Amino acid sequence: MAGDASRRLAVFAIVTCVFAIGGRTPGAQQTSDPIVGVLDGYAEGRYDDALARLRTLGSARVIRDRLRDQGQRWIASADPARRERRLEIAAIVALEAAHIGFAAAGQPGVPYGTKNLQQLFDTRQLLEVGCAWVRQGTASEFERVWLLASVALQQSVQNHYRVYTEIRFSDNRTVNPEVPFRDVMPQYSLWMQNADLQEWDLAHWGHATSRFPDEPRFALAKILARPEVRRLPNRPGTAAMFMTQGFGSSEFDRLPELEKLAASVVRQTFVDLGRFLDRPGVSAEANLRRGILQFHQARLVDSLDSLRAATKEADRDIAYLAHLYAGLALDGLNRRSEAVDAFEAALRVVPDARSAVVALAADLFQLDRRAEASARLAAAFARPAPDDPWRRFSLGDYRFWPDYLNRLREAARS
Amino acid sequence: MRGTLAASVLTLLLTSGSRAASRQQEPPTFRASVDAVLVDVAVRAGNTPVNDLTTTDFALWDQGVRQEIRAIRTGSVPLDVTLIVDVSRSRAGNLAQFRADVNGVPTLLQPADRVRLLAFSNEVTEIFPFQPGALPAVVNDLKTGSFGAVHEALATALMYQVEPDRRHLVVAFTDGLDNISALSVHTLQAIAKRTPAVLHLVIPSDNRGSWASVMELGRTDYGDPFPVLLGTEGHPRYRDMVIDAAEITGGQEHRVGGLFRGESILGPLKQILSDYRRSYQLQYQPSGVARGGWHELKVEVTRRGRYNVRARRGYFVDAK
Repeated sequence: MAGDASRRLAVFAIVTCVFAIGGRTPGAQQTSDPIVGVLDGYAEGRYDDALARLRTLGSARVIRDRLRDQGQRWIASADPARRERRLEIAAIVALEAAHIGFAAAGQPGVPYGTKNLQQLFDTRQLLEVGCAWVRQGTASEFERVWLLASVALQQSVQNHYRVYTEIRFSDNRTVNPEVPFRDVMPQYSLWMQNADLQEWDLAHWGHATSRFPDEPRFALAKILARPEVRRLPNRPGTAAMFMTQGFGSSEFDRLPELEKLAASVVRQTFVDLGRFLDRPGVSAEANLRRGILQFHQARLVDSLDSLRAATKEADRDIAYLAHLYAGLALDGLNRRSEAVDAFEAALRVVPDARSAVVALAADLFQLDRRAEASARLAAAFARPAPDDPWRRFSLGDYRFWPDYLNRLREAARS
Repeated sequence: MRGTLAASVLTLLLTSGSRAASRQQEPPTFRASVDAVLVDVAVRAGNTPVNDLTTTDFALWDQGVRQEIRAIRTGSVPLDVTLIVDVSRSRAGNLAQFRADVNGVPTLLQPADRVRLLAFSNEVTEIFPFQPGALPAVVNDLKTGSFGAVHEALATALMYQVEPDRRHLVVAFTDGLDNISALSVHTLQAIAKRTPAVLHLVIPSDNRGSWASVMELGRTDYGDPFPVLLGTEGHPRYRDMVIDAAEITGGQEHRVGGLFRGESILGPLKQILSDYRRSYQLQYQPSGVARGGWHELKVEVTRRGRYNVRARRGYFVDAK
């Protein structure tokens, strides 16, 4: 995964020169800066200690500035043979800091308050510092995994805003962001104007896809960012209805307009997902997402076909959700006994997962198998709850974060 | 009033005498003509519970057909009480207060009662299973989360298999807004139609149920302008449907000021328990009605006077 070190370092040398011209002296490392201690500790594999120190350094903005300045110097101060590894370490620390930053603004996937807006924005820029480092030189496997990890973090915090401007419909129309952002959602407008989050997301995807045009997960991430695809999948309903939450009755007058917009987005999303249904690595997820959209459109039989294509997936989250949704779709078709089988299948993938246990019990209860329903609940609650893929559905690729991080650490060690 | 102000039956137990002693088996249901229905009924005159009524003071209709009330029971039946507390980020305002409140729950229960505590945020957790009411109630581990699995918590409680000689009361302290359950509110209502339990919801009175006020609550409580932006049932009357589930069982909503902001849960819980103990259980054997499907109930008090009668709206029997 080390990649093309010589070309990357050549670019890095240019960057270093720019710093020097700007009055900064990369070689004159200030070892007293605490970020250097973090980087050294991380390089030595003392991850917990390094992260504990990182958490004491201040806000995401402070860490961003220190990483950008002192981190750059820390990389440059190494002898050429070690610079590549230092660059990788610093880039991973940028990811780790972003992860901490998002958590400080709120749990990943949790809507952020305006008071945390700056923290969120600064954290995005922290990722950008790391992104600028890894994009130097020839594309490498390390860079690919780093970008995958950064997109996973990006997806973990997309629940509270909408990424519309990238959608281009088949007839060349584009979504008009004025509708959701400016008129109906004035708070979002303020949010977006201040934080520029959407533009950042789009720019970051641009980095990822330009470097790895054949990586389908980057392209899929753009589709999954659309609120119609990302919303927590409670049940069938119109895609735009959730937009009304938080508003008074006058805004409900806008519903037809919003419905129309959302319907257009969903139609285009089916087209876009169609490109991934047979792509290795993401076909199961594309089928799952298509099945969920069909479910929300009350096209339950179509939904079952899509979901079945996803149930054989090795990714346990995808397989679990495909079985779970199949159960919900079968419930909608009043095929309750088959729904029981589907929920049982989900529980074979993730035993005791609460969402499937309760859904299974609900069907058993309605089938007049009440003792069985009660017993299944009691047995599940007697054991610790596992991570439930349903709960992190809207966090997208964030489920891969631990794996990506481990792979990056391993690569930096080798 | 002479009759019914609002029909509600407090607990419906589908039972039969031949199976009543069998605690470990499937609860008796409407499988034969000898099956009996137990209907819990709460009666008030003004704000005062009325607890001297007899079988002749009630009139009960099943599917519009007047039924003969065979027996009546009052508050001597031991209770299984399931408490549900919302510890999602929006509601977990004062966990220390909550822990202290739970310690006080045994003082409200009788020796033969049992109590169970469920908490929910992103998912449902059993803090402790059913235990004798007199035992200390201790909250050791309480994990808050960002979302509220209201449907799953309520459904989990309502699907509990109560023993025939006990009554099951479920009291949930929540804003009633779900944003992460796999179960729909419609499924919750379907379960409510089949459960023998009675569900009461204790809801903050400063949370009025329109989405506009939800937004306001979010701003003032914890700083999120869009606390329930995603995933919530996208229906402006969504929470009414949760409350409707409680009313199907014969329970109701209770608005309490300051809930989750330091107000003790013990006050409303004490009142709900007290009212429930002073309610009646009417027993009858359905006659003249089809066995399967939804049975709409109506209960009236025939004694002279103005009474507020709260009873379950009906019950569901599988057609098979």
